[in-house]
Amino acid sequence: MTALGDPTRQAIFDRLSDGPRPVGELASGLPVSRPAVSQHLKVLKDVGLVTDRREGTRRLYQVDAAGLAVLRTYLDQFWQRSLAAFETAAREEKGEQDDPGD
Amino acid sequence: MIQAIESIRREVVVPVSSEQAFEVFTSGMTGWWPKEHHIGSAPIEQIVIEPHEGGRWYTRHEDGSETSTGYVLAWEPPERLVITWQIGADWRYDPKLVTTIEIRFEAEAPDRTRVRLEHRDLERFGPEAERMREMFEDPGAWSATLGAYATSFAETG
Repeated sequence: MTALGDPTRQAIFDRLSDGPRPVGELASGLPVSRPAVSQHLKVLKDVGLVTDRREGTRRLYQVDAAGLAVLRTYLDQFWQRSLAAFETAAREEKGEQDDPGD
Repeated sequence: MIQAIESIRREVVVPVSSEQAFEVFTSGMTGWWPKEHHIGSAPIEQIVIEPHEGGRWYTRHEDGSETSTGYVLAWEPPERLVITWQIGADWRYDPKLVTTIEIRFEAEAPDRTRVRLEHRDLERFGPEAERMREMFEDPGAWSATLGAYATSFAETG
């Protein structure tokens, strides 16, 4: 289970990497509803990747840079992806793979 | 602010012997390592894990330069490999930063091996948390790296 395993959450996190954003702005650039974005933000908050703060009348979401969770998640995703590539390489070694990919 | 964080644990089952799995993981690393994931000034030419305890784990780049990733703590083919990962939050090799990766190759059948990877000692990144925060506040540094990574992940995902 990884918080960034979901493509929409990955996209939200990616946008927040550029700077703090209110939920409306995040939702406007994505093909999902605003409540759905709020739900994804809650998941990201729960695992410590994102924090929020009130600024005037609106709430801003931002990457929680202090959280080592960010680095851990990065590495976790990295190893997930690398091991998948390793598995492909091992299958090719075995000669089971007809499509060598690139 | 130093806090213990949970090790990363990942595993994969491959349809080869543990000897072959160990071989592909180590001497075949150039073939499966994500190509954009390097800290050098030029693309990866070859990734080398010197096959003995104390050996270096490094990358040779197309411009002839080399970058270090870590070194070998345990070289026990075909069952176990322990290597260090010494890349800091600034994406540079840091000899003082030592995190550990242990890979176990468990033979489940003559042509079936379970590969378990654990990346631990991640709390040692702790002293760098402040630097990471600074990098996040500088758009274009870490966030660009993370963004590029996220993009490549989405493309392959």
